[in-house]
Amino acid sequence: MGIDRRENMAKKVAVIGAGNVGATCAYFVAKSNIADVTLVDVVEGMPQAKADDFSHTAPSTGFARTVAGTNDYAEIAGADVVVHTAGIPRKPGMDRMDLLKTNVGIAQTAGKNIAHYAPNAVVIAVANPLDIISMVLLRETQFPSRRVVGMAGILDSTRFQYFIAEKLGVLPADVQAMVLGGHGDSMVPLPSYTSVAGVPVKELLDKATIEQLIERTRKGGGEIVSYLKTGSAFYAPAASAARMAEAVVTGRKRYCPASAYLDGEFGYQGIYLGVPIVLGSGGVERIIELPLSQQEKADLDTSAEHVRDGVKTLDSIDTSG
Amino acid sequence: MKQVGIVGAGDIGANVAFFLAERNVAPVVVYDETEGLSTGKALDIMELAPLSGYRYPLQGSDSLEDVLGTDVIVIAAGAPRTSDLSRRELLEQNLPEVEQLASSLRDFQGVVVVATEPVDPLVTILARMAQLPPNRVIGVGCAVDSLRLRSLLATELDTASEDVNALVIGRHDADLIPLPQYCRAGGVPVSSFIPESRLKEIVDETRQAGTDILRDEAAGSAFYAPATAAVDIVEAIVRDTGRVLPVTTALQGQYGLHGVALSLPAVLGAEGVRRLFELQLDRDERRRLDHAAETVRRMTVERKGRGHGH
Repeated sequence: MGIDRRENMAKKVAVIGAGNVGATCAYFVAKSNIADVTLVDVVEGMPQAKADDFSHTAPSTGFARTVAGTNDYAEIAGADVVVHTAGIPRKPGMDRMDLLKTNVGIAQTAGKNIAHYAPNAVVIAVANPLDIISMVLLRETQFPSRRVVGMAGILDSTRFQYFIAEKLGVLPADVQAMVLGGHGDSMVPLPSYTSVAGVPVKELLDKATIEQLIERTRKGGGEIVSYLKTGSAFYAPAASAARMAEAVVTGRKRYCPASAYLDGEFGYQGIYLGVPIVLGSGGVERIIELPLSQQEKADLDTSAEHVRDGVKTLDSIDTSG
Repeated sequence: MKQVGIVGAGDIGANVAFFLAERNVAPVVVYDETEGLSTGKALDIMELAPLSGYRYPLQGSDSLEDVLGTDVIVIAAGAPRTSDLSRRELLEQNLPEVEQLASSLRDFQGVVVVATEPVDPLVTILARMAQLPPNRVIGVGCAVDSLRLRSLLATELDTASEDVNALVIGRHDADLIPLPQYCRAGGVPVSSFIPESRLKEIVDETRQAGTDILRDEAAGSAFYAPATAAVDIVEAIVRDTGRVLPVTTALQGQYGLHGVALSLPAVLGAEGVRRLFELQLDRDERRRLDHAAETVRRMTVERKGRGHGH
């Protein structure tokens, strides 16, 4: 018919950083068969090798889209979504500030390249510190803020959901939860919006147990590190990021918590913070201002304060390239 | 409900656990000798269960006993391939651990799937030492190479890879034996679509695929394809499907070969290998199969001379 369906239809997701989170995120996106995937990393040969290893599984997994690896940012051209996972992990003895500077630098480079090669993309930040890296990407790309969003709340929520499911011995997918706030110790799980097949969790678990599960969720990343010792979590973070990419590519308008740029919502101005959003083809299509209890609002204030401090630190080191 | 155990929570073992969860195959227990490692990996994977709808539990354990109580055990322990180690040297390195496992597996009633490299000599030795019937000790072997060849052929033909079959037998190494006459797309031999010279290039690419990935040190050894092949085998056993895949088992007279393990197409079910297909091979393929058997025999006999007694 003269119409190349691929030329016209193929969506593209670029993943920056081919470490464990990036490569596993590429796997999840490829598995959903909604977009071609381009895996970018500065290490020569590495994203290509991972992409080949993936592609070889296609006959079994049913991947119908291409997965390509590259060292060249130019190949993200035309991406509908860019997932930014690149950054170095904190090594023993490393100063938190040096780590921040390095990862901010990496995000600045990525941001410039995204703006240049994929000017219409929705950017999903995954690298930590999440709420700060999101801000860096927003500034560097100069995209409208709805097109730069951070992955945090989905991960924190799925962890909270799993811990509740494990405690109750129910199917994990039957638990719904909502975790707001910054991605870190000051995150704000909301038991009032957490339920099992619609039944409020408060009717199923006592307050002390819920408190304990909340604490476990706050330290969820740390718990994995304590077991792995030399590594950190990547399966659940990668799946969470891929879920967000899917929502954008398919325009599914998914209701999920994510780190969004706030312009007055919940009373906060000019910071990224985990809030409930509707995620669709344009990025953050809506921010949902849930009614919060006094305690929940106070916790969210504390979380916002942490992020604001982080932005101040960022401004003190930001050399803008 | 059958349970799956995994020995080793490195890149291959952890991804076997991950793909088993992704496909909702069975409850899984992963063991690793490094304390905490398997628990950390299992927890990371299960924390996405609410998102991905996993139906079965996955647990880490620091005790091998927990794995020995399962129905299908995947062995993914030991060191992965590295670019500076030959498969022979790798055998020296990984054998002690597999020998130790063999003694724990003597009373095991289920099926063992070996993903640790080098697969062919390790299956040969494990079946012998654990005194398990050959149909219950299965190496991932050429299932990985077939997967790769299918994928490369599908790319070449620009067609869905599910619709392409490809058969690779022999040793899971650079001297693997592809059988082009058994490579088909929608039932049609690929030789109808792809010229012989190009087919040869694709076969060579298959031979080199694992090594090419290995050459890039930052990426490490390939693990997605080997883990996927292992899960294909486990799924066939757990669900008793009769799926046909080329896997490594100790041969019992096929092509006149005895006691050495090589990959041949096998019908897989609850009891492990239900039966092997003995295909028509031409003289050259036969010669290469004999040669592969001789290589595996030498690798395992050398060990026998030195290895016994300790």
